Amino acid sequence: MVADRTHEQSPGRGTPAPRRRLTPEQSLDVVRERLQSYADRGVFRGFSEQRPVAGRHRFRFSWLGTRPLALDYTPATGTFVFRNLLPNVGARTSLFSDLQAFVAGRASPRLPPHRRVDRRRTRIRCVSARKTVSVELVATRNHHEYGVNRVINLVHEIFLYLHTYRPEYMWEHFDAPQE
Amino acid sequence: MPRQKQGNSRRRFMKQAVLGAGATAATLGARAAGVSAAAAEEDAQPIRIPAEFETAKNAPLPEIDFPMTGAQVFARACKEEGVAALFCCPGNYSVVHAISDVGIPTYGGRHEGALCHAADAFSRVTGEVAATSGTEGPGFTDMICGVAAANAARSPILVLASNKTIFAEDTERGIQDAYQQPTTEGMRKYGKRLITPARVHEYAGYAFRQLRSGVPKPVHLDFPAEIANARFRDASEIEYFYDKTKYRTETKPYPDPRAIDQAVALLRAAERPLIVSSNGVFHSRAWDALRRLAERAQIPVVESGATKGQFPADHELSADTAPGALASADLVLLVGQYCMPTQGEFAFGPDTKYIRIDPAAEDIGRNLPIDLGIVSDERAALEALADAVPRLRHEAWVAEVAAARADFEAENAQYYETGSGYTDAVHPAVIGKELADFLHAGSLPRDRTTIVQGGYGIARYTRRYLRSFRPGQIMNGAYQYGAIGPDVGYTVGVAAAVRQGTGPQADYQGHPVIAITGDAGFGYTGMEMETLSKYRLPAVVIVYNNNAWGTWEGQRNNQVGLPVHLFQENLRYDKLGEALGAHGEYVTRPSEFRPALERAYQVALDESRPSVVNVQAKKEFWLRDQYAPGFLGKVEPGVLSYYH
Repeated sequence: MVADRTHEQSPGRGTPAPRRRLTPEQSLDVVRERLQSYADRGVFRGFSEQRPVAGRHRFRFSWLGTRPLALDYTPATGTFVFRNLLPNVGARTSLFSDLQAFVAGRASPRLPPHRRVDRRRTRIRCVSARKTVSVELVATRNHHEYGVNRVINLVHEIFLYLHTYRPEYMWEHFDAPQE
Repeated sequence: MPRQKQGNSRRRFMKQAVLGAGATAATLGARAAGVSAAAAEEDAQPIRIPAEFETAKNAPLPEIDFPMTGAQVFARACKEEGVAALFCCPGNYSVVHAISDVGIPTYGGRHEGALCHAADAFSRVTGEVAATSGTEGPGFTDMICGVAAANAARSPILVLASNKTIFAEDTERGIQDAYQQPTTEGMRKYGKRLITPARVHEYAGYAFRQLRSGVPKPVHLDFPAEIANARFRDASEIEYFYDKTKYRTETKPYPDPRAIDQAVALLRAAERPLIVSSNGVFHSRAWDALRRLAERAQIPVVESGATKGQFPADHELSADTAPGALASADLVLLVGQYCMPTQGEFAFGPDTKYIRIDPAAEDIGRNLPIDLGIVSDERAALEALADAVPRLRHEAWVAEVAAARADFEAENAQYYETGSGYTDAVHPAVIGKELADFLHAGSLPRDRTTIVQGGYGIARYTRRYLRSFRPGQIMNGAYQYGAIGPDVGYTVGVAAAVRQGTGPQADYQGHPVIAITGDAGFGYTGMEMETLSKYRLPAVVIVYNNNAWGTWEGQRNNQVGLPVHLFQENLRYDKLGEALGAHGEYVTRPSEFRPALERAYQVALDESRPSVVNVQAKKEFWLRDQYAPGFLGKVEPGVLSYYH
């Protein structure tokens, strides 16, 4: 345990507290510990960490469905990326437009605080490259622990959205039953 | 049976010829069919129910005492155990007739599979044991889909089938030989081929111990002729021939008080707790305890499972129509959730904690990680929790659930408005909204009508609008096993349950029931309209007719293979219903739906006769880019759920 948790708050609640600056190693420990806790609770399956490349740490696990997911974390910039999360989504498709709007909407003040992504502590976006969508969250002002919690919850919300409004996409790409 | 005129008139010849010409020339066929239909109309005598039905209804039950057959010994056990109905086709005569002779209501239909589905449905809306039966070999194998669907739904059905003699085993002497027990492996709780005649009553005990305890599932017994036809001079010739109080217990597993304390501590710490009420709450009749706990600790309740209505949809704590709030729950009590989702199949988030209450210790912890497991009968656990928990308030959370309900209703209203704008066929949102208005917002008490929520694509709309206000009001058709087609079979079982007023249906005895199905589904069990009709079971069966299987959308760009997913267009399922003794309605425009529904309901009231309301849609309604909102997804648990 490296992080000073005395200032940590529940996600989205109240004014963001000032964060003590963590070294990259310390913030990596915080993130690693949070991710490991999901694995320990049985939320993630097959959790593993790969060797870092250019300061980017990759965590692999299965979670929502059978397709393994990859979460990259760069401690120096506080950047989390679910890389290649959604296959076969072109940048000019209505699905991508809807996803962009949905992700942007996760910061809306209309959402209850526990569902919201706090813009004062993070920046979020989804990007399409080579017909594949990645989801990115940057934890600002040293809010790494908040960031890792929010990016996991953000992906959960994206999957809920797709199950609700794009079932055919989930059939085709995530082995969701068509029946 | 209606009698047909014999002889070779020119008209009869034309009719036969047209039938023979069949589907080769559509235009000629249509013209000729007109002649044929007119001829048939003129020739036909009215459809009528044979007088034997009335005779059977009024016939006294035979006195049955020793000497008895094996079938009679078994039937007596079924009666004493309270088997509430038998659904069957001819076959397994000794057992079927013995069960009928002891006064268990018996329904005979057209296909063993459909009647097995009927038994499943009967159990799903009553919580009682229903039996189903077929003949050895073909009749039994026809039942397999029904057995599997009942197993997935955790329905306590008693699957009975005759078998040839033990003497002739392996010889292929005669016909219809089949090894039954391996066939139901993996889709039952217990199964046994009876071998020793003297143990027939003992094995009834084995069956009912399984059916009446723990997590319910089908039990399958097959009866070789040596068993069914064995003769016993007196009780001394039968093993373990004693009362049910000696071979099983009514007591239930109660929760460990320490586990209840832990659960209360978790509830006190939670900001947004939620109860998922599922199959076990229904089967343990725990709805009063559920409500007491929810109200005392102000915990919203969402339903899942094969039957809906344990918690009323109009209660301020109902989260059944609040899919948008589910991911906010920080603590979830899964109560009687026998069919467990995996991660991501329920909407709860990655930080949600879980308490699971289940009578089967061996299943607790499967799929979803638990923070606390409580091995207990559901009602016992809910009563203990309701007694132990202090009064808690979660006002902000309840307000969030209410806001999510309002969002969901607004979305449904938008879908209806959009759907009403498509006037060349009937959009599924029109069916869902106007059916719900008729059942829940008109002159009928909204808790009155028991509903078979079947279909595939259509169900993704109707689930959004239909509500359950009391236990056993909605049977969740395709639940878990996902069989497309049992719906009319299910309707037989539900209508029989309501006709009899069994279990939670007692206050609604005799009222019409409503069923929703698709054109694909109707094709499987539509012949059971005749069963509904001959027993005068008042059911309104709504057929969403979009000329295609529900799989069409996913294959629409597959030019070569696409016909596999299509039917002829504009088929007249209403006429098929009429031909089987039902009332028929054909609806082709949105404005016609509600009047047709009201007429069909009136026929059910006045004549106790079923109807087919054939609602003409089109397959393209599933295309979002052409007919928004297109094919809909779902969020579970809640009104939209049917996987778990």
